Formats: sequence, structure tokens, C-alpha cells
Amino acid sequence: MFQGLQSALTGIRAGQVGLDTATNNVANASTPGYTRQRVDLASRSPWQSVSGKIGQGVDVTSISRMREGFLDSRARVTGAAAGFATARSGLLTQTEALLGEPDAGIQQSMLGMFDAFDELALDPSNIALRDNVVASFDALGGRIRSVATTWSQLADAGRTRMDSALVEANQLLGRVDELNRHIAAAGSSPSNSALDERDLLLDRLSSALGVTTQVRSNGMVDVSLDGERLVETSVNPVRTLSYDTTAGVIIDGTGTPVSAGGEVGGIHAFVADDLPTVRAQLDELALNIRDAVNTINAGGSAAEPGGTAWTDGGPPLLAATSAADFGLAAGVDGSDVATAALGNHALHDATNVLRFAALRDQNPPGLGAPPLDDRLRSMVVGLGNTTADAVARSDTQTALFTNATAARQAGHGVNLDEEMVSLVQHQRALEAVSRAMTAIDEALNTLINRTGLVGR
Amino acid sequence: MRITSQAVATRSVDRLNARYAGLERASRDASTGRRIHTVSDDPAAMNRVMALTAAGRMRDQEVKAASDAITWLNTADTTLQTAMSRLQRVRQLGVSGASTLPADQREVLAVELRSIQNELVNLANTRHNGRPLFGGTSDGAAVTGGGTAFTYSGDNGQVMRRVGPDDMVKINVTAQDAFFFTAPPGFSDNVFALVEDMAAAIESGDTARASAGLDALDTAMSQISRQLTTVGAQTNHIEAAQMRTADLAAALSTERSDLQDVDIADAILRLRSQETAYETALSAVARSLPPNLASFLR
Repeated sequence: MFQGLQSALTGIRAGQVGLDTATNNVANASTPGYTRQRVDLASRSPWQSVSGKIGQGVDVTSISRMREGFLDSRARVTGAAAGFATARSGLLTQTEALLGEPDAGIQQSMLGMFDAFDELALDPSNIALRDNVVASFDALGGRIRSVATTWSQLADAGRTRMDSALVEANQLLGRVDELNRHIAAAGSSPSNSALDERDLLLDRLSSALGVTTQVRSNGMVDVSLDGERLVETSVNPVRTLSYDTTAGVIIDGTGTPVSAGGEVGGIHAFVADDLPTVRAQLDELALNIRDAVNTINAGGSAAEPGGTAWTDGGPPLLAATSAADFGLAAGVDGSDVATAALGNHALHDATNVLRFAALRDQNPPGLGAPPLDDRLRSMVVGLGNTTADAVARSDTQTALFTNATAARQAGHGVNLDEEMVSLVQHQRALEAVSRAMTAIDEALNTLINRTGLVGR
Repeated sequence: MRITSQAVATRSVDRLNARYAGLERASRDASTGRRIHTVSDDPAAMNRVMALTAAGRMRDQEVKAASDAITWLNTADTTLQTAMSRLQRVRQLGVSGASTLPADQREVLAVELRSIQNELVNLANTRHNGRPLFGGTSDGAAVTGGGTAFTYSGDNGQVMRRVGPDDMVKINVTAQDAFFFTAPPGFSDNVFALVEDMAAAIESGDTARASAGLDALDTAMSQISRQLTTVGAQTNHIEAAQMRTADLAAALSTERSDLQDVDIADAILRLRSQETAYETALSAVARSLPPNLASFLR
């Protein structure tokens, strides 16, 4: 009899724990990283009564997290790939926008220069038209310099973003190390919220850096990047990361360079690879324009207004060491533009202007094929192809990541209907156990208070 | 399959974003009238668009150069026609002077001839847009001198105009070409001195020389007439080239438009269908986030 009361008590306790767990699940339905929890029950071992073995009620063995490692690793791998592709494609898209083609880019300025040559060819002695040629050089220089400068600023902004991402990642690594200790100290029953928090940190580390993780038997997690263990709790102290402009992401202390994935890897790929490639093409284009224009100018004769004085072999009109300082040479004005054939001091001779005008569609002298406009286009279209490819990859990776995230939320998240059912189930169970207790109580009451009074 | 409200929310937001992006793209296309906005939208097409833009600008300049060339040639034509009509007058005066006339009448003829000579020198030194029309590429007077001593002071520079793809045309005629020639026996080698020769012959009453001068005058006129023919032929060539170049420019801009611009009817239709798709997605999401079991348990 008394055993029944004990059993009912365990049932009430289990019901309470079940209600509490379901309530906690409902409360955390929207908490990021929360894993739904379930009460694990087991029946107590029976005792040997005179008539046979009778169960002794129910035990709450544990409150377990419904987490699947496979879903986690898929979400993290796709998260790292999506972080990489999104960061890179975002920066490439900005690079392309800063180039401003086709409506507000270098091509329009370059065509403006060619137009100025053609207009001067109609009236080569006209000083206003010669000044117009110089002004068109200045406009082209301004456009190319502005592209070069804004690209550098973009790279600087990328590096700053990488620095702050690494500072944050270092904090996350430290926090993972700390949680590892807590979890290991708790032994076989670690706190579910600590595990959830650690998983959330590992998610963020994956999308930022593309780290890999390995769970050890004591519940601790090792975090590695590119084969280097960053977190190896109770074996080594946490190794932090920083950004070096030449070596990329390095491990503090040893200075070992590591290849990062995720957002940091994407920015690094842009800063260290994509941008320098296209920037080198822009530098080359600027130097080509400088060489073509200066070669042609040196091959003609330039007149002062009215033809009062002549210079055989015009001075260099453009000066540049790279795209960043491409522009007019010092002290150049319209009278420095060589219009006549070399040595032919005829004011209306446009021989050399026609050589300038031929730059529009002919190979520049001394540089060979192709013409300047083709060189510009191959740079622009090359960047366009790289960007288009990066954007397409980013779309694919983001879609995969969204899928993996949704799959994980479907597996780990809280389904409110399920929890409602479980609440009702536990509530009913509690009521039923209470009813059982009442039944035993009434039986005992009869036994204790009515025994021997029968028939009195 | 297990579904949770978070998973439903994630997927729904993702789908809504995709639909919204589609709507944004359709509305951008319709409002800008462009199919491709940046190079990465379609690198191959944009490569072509940029090449067509460059070629179109080149054709524009060629059309301009052709207009300039036609103005130049028209001025040259008018000037040479005037010179021809003045020489006709010289011929009339020469015919009158070739018969025996009293001294005062011969004097009148000689005065008119010398004034025509002056006119002819001025015609040869005509300037067009501030530069000598018949002086090659030099800046000074094309013809200098006086009396019977005239020289060509210009140069042999060519004035070139590109009026079409690979169509470079020389448009100038020099005073050397138009007014100088191989000297007929006993006369000067240029129009200006020849007129003075005539004036002197008539003034002195040398009728034989005056009538011989008429033959020399014919040589001079045929020289100018040849140059008029050249100018006329160049004008025809350039007018044809200008029309062709303008046609090419139009074709380039049509092709560019085909590559870059949207078909308006198609763009509107796509905008409409994207709008409908977005609204459908919105209402689908609104339905897929229903109240849960809690609302029905009492």
C-alpha cells in the first residue's frame, strides 16, 4: 500500500519536470541556437512482493538536448562557404560600381579625349581646341585617379573589417575555451544552455573564419583552422589570430600564416587577389595611355599661338607612375600639343593630330595590338566576368546555407504544436497520478479508520 | 518530416526575399528602360555595348568632319567659280583690245584689267575659318607679288578629313594647282601676271600680242576648270560618305539598343507578373504562419 503512494509521488515529480521542460521549450521557441529538450523517463526497478515483482514508479533520468551533429556540421560548412562568397561578391560588386562603366566610367572620358583629337584635326591652329585636348587629358586623369583612389579605400575598408572580424573571433575562441572548462567540469550532466551557447559560438566562428571542430570524449571541443589547433582546452592555451598585410591571417606569437575561410577568407581573397589583379590592369592601362600620347607628341612639332615659336618634338603631356598619379605633366598647356609633322613648321598642318586621332581605333605606336579602347574593355569585361561569377556563387552558397539552416531549425527547433501536446499529456498524467493517490488514500482511510467496525 | 515555426519562418523569409528581389529587378528594368545595368549583369553583351559606343562616337566625329569638309569644298567651289567669271570678263576685254582702238579706250580696258588682277589675287588669298583656302597648311598669303612677278607662298601641305571608316580624303586645292601653269610662249606662268601681260599689250596697242594672250588665257581657264571638277568630285564623294556614315551610326545605335534596352511591352508584362508573384508569396506566407494548437486548446 505505502509503496503505491511512493510510486504516485514519482509520477507527480515526473509530470512536474515534464511540464517545466515543455514550458521552457515554448518560452525559448524563438531563442537563437536553442535546442529543444526532452525529459527522459525510466521505470524504477521493481521490489519483490509476496505476490510478485511490483514496479516502484518512474525516474527522470535526464533532460536531453535533441541535437544532431550532422545537421550542425552541414550548416557550418555551408555557412563558411556562404560567408566567403557573400563577402567576396559584395566587395567585387562595389569595385565594379566604383569603376562606373559603362555610363560614367573611364570609357566616356577616353572617348572624350578622342573627340577632342578629332575636333582639333579640323582646325589644328585653334588654341582653344588645343586647350580642349589638354582639358580632356585632365578629365581622363581625374577619372582614372578617382577609380584608383576609391579602390584603395575599398581595400582599406576591407582590411579594417577583417581586423574587427578577427578581434571578435578571438573573443569567441576565448569564450569557447571557457565553456569547454565548464562543460568538462560538469562531467556527465553538463548544462544544456552551456552546450547551446557553445554551438552558437561555433556557428559564428564558422561563418567568420571557416573553422573545423572536433569533440573530445570529455565533452570539450577542439577548434582548428587550416590544420592549426586554436582551441585545445587543458592541453594548450587559446591561440589568437591577427591580420598581417603581407602574410594574411596569422597566428599570434608564432606568426604562422593560415588560410581562413568564411567572411575573413572572402575579404582576404578580394584584398590579396581580386583587387590587385584588376588594379595592375588599371595601372598598365594608365601607363599605356601615357606612353602612346607622349610618343606621338614627341614625334611632332608644337607651335606657340600664331606660330611665333616652334618646338620640334613636343614635350611629354602625361605623367604617371601608376593609375593613382596619372595626369597632366607639370606645366603643360595647349601650346605643348604637337600638331604638325616633325620639323614642318606649318601652322595648319594636322599630320600629328591625325596620329593622335588614330589612337581611337589603331594600335598605339610602340605598344602594338590592341588599341587603347580594347585594352580598357578587356579590363572592364574581365572584372565583370569575375564579379558575375562571384555573385552567382554567392547566390548558390547562400541558398545552400539557408536550406541547411532551415533543416537544422526543423531538427533542433521547437515545434509549438508538439509542445502543446506534450503540455496536455503531462497535465493529464499529473491529474491521473493525483487521482491514483486519492484512491490509495481512500483505501488507507477505510483500512485504518473502519477496520474492526464492520457489522458494529 | 518535422517542421518547426523557426524553420517555416526562415524558409518563408528567404522565399519572400527572392520574390522581392525579382520584383525589384523587374521594376528597375521597366523604370530605367535598360536590360543590363552593370558589366556583371551580362559581360559579353556589355563588351559589345562598349565597343558599339566607341564605334558610334567615331562615326559621329566622321559625320562632323564630313560637314566641315563640305563647307570647305563649297567655299573653294564658289571662289573658283568667281575666278572663272572674272577670267571670262578678261577674255571679253582681251577680244575688244585685240582690235585697233584709240588710246583713251585702250587705257580704260587696261585699268579694268588691272582691277580684275587685284580681284583675282584677293580670291587666291581667300581665308576660310581663319586659314588660307588655297595656301596648303601655311598661315600666310597663298600668293604674293605684284605686276608680272607672282609667286606661290603657301606649301604643299594636305588638308585631310576622315569622313568614314578607312575613308581619308584630301579636301584642299592649292593656288599653285589652280592659278599656276606651264607658261605659254611669251607669257607669264600664272593667271595674275597673265592679266598684267594682257593689260600691258592692250595699253601699248600691240594687238597681235593681245590676241595671242587670248590663247594663253584659255590655258589658264582650263586649269581652273580642272580644279573645279576635282572639287565637285570630292564634294560628291564626301556627301555620299556622310550619308553612309550616318546610316552606320544609326545601325550601331540600333544594335546597342537591342543589346542594352528592354522591350517596353515585355518589361511591363514582367513587372506585372512579378508583382502578382510577390503578392501571392505574401499571402502564402501569411497563411503558412497560422495560430498554433494553443489557440484551439481550451
